[in-house]
Amino acid sequence: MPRRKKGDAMKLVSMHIQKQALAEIDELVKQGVFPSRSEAIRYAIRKLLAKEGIGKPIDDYPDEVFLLGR
Amino acid sequence: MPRTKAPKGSMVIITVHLPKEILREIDELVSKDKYPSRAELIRAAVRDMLDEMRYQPHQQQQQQDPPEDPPPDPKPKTKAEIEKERSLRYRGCVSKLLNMLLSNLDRFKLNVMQDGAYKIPKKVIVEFFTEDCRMHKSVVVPAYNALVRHFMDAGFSVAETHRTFILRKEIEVVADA
Repeated sequence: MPRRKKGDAMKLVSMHIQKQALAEIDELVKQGVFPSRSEAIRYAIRKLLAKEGIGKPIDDYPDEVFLLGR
Repeated sequence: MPRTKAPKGSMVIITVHLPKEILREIDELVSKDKYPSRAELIRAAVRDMLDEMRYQPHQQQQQQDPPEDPPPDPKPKTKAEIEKERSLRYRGCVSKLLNMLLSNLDRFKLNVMQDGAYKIPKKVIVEFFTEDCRMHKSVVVPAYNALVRHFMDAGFSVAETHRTFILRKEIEVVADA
């Protein structure tokens, strides 16, 4: 998980969404594509914002220490 | 109350935690009248993402009316089947990227260092996994590790910096008989 920066506080938002869309999101979570519903929705929003040319591009790839060798 | 096109029965309420920064950006687009409301923007984002995730290679970016009926679901898959499908997909993805990088190593020639190592920006790798393979970034690390192992199996030594993946071809020195 990327570390959250200071001032990156969360706010709770409630909204209506189509049942079918939610079922598909749940399926993606079940398949392990996303860790949670919220993460899937945040990812979707970030993609849309990036497409609209607003917000940061999605390149905040993880900074873990990778297995290397030989 | 925002107007909803779909009948109420087909909608459910969800609650999501959103970073304030994202919310500010959403409000910016809404205030520019690009979207009628926050909710409408989020619904559009979810629709776009699901369309992408359905992963239809021949689907054009046309605004055709998508079929509204749910996809046929012949029989529910078992957890093991889903797991197997996923791991096959990821493995296929990793070997596809491996082959692509191996056959395009010349592209990274500009980055060949004095000691003969190839430098591939990690961005290239991560973008392949997330954009081409539609992997979520949370599963990029295992896929990346698998890629590293494949390169080692192919006779490369592998190192990395913060943003770069470094490959060096191990040269087999065969002693004279």
